[in-house]
Amino acid sequence: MIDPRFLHAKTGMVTLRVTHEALQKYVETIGELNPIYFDKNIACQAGFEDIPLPATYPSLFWNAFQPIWLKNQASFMLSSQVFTYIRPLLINHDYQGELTLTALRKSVNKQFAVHILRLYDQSSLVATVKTTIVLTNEVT
Amino acid sequence: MAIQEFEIYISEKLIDDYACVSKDVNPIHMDKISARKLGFPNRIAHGMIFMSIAHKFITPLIGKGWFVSMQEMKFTSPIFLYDTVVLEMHSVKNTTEIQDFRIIGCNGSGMKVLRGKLVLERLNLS
Repeated sequence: MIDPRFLHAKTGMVTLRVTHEALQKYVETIGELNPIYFDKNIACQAGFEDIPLPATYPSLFWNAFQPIWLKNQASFMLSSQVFTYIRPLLINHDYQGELTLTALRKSVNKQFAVHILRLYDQSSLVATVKTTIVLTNEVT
Repeated sequence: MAIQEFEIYISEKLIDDYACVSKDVNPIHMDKISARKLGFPNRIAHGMIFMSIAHKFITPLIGKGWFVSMQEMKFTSPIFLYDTVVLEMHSVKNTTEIQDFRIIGCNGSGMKVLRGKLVLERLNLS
């Protein structure tokens, strides 16, 4: 379980950039074969400046953070996730992100931990990801 | 009106491939014994698998000048290795400015295991 003393802790700002190769690996894994994720010309024809990221891609940004409050937390799973966009994210573009632990709630042998990932483009907020994970005690 | 359905079979390959690309190798996803220690009968599929696949419902709209302004999913029950989940998407609003969808997912026993929303807005091309 997460120590409540970590409530409102932040990871610090990290620069995040998705390459074309990283996106290909992701979309192929989920079986997403739409050419808009492969061909910049098609993306531009649809009104994007470059190939857009699927709305769900920022869940992978968690790898860029090492939240100290999750250190040694072996078992947790996703309870809910909300992606909110002011504008779409693109490949080959630098974004700045920071992860914050915003709430903790206990329920019997479970703990729910709410995280907010804020993504900025040159200090303008472009997207927010709210992730609630549930941590569970081992059954004895 | 249900506009689209996807059936997703949770194979070892699907979980392993998603773990590889997401680098989420939490034992609860990767190891049956670890999952059992927590009271679950089998490995649990990554929730993001379903959110990512649900996104495929609307990808054709992304190619027509729309972008996702909000995508939400709540998991009401764990989804296990070898489960089959049927995702069903319904349109609740469809205007020239906004498209709003609801998603539900049921497992092979007919139990609702997830629900979600997807909202798309027009790209500002100016």
